[in-house]
Amino acid sequence: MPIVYDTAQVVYSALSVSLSMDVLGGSMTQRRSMGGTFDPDRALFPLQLRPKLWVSDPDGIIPEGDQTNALVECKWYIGTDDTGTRIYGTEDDYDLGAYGEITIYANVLPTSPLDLFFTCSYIDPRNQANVIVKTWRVTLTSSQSAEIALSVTLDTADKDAFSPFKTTSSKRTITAQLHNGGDDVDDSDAYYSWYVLDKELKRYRDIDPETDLWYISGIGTKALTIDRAYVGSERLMCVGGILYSEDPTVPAPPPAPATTLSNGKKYTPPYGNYTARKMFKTFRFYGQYGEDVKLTKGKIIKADTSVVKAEAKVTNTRGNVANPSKYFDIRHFTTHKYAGAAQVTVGYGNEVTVNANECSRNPQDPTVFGCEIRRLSEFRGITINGAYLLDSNGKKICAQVPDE
Amino acid sequence: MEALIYAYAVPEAIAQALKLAPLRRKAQINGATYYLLSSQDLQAYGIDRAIENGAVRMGLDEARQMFNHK
Repeated sequence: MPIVYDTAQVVYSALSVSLSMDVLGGSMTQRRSMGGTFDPDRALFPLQLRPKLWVSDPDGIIPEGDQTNALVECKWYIGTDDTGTRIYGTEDDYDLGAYGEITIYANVLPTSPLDLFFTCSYIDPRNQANVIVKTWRVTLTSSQSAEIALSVTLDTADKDAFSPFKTTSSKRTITAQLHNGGDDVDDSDAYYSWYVLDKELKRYRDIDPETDLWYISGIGTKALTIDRAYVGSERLMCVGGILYSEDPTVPAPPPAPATTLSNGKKYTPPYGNYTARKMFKTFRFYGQYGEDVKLTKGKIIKADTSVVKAEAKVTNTRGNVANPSKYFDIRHFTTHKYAGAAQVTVGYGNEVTVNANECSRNPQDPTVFGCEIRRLSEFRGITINGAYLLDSNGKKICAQVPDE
Repeated sequence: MEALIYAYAVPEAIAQALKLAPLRRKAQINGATYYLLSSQDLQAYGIDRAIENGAVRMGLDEARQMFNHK
């Protein structure tokens, strides 16, 4: 009798399998400060991703729940799919644990998000044949902190009035400080540029040590030293800058070259892709003062009077100015009281002595002594045909002239 | 140049409470075990509360030295 067979097919209901990822020790995003520090720094505070497999069997053969321990063929890739770079756990930035666990030490640049791709398999234990492949993908990102709020402060007033009467040194160092918000920018991160307002072009230009005789030192540094004895009126500007790049692998750009202005002066752009500026004015300022002339000898001309001495007097808020010819151009003259009388210059300086015989002896028309007192300018270089006069040491010869 | 980013050496109890002990570096400080946590790690617990309970704030360079960062 033949034996016949028929096979009862075993069919299981499809499993419901879901793969999720526990994120431990951090989040998918970081912040990167302007100085390049990551928050959190994953090298110190690594991020861990731990797969979790949840299985639900409609037939109830497999208990519903976490089946992570049954995961096989767990693989991680850098990239968006399994054609990316395989992670083996031997890299500095990654450690691999059991059942697909990965610990990430890598920091992510704001410009270079990191894609990670995970794939794993679960073998249906009911038939030991059905392989269910699950994948999971994430992008780790980083945001840049826009903490840039630059400002420059100077240790001088916006208007620096220099009194020629000061007995202390006319040299002055103006120190700048670049700030980002409430914090000082470290000198190693800051670039300082100093400019002067060109009176001819009405724009700021580079300081020219050859012609800006008040300049002593400090171009390119945070401290500019000038000699105000050589300043009539100057407007100066300090620009502070930082060089910041979101991608530290990109080399810093070189400084921009100087451009030549229409009057031959130079302008070099400040270095830095973020800058702030501060301007101030420094100028020669006499303040309030009064002038007078006094006859110290021969005020009353008698028969035996031989000389008449006239002395210029200048007083300011501090009292008598000693040696006023140090600060003023003083011209002594004689004249008469009647209208239209000519002035005859008799000398220059603090005092002048005139022979009494040169003075009127007519009581109705006495000689009147006067002086014209004009402020002296700052020290200026003397030029002939545009070239500076130099002394035997090659230094520019400078002089003060009466201010008009 | 910018506000400093801090790290925190926290007693073991805080790290355990946050379930971060397996994930964070540890070091022996004055005979006690401390774990290195970030300010982000302590958000749920509270930084002020952590400091009251023995956490010590430090800069990242100091943290690297103390916890033998590789």
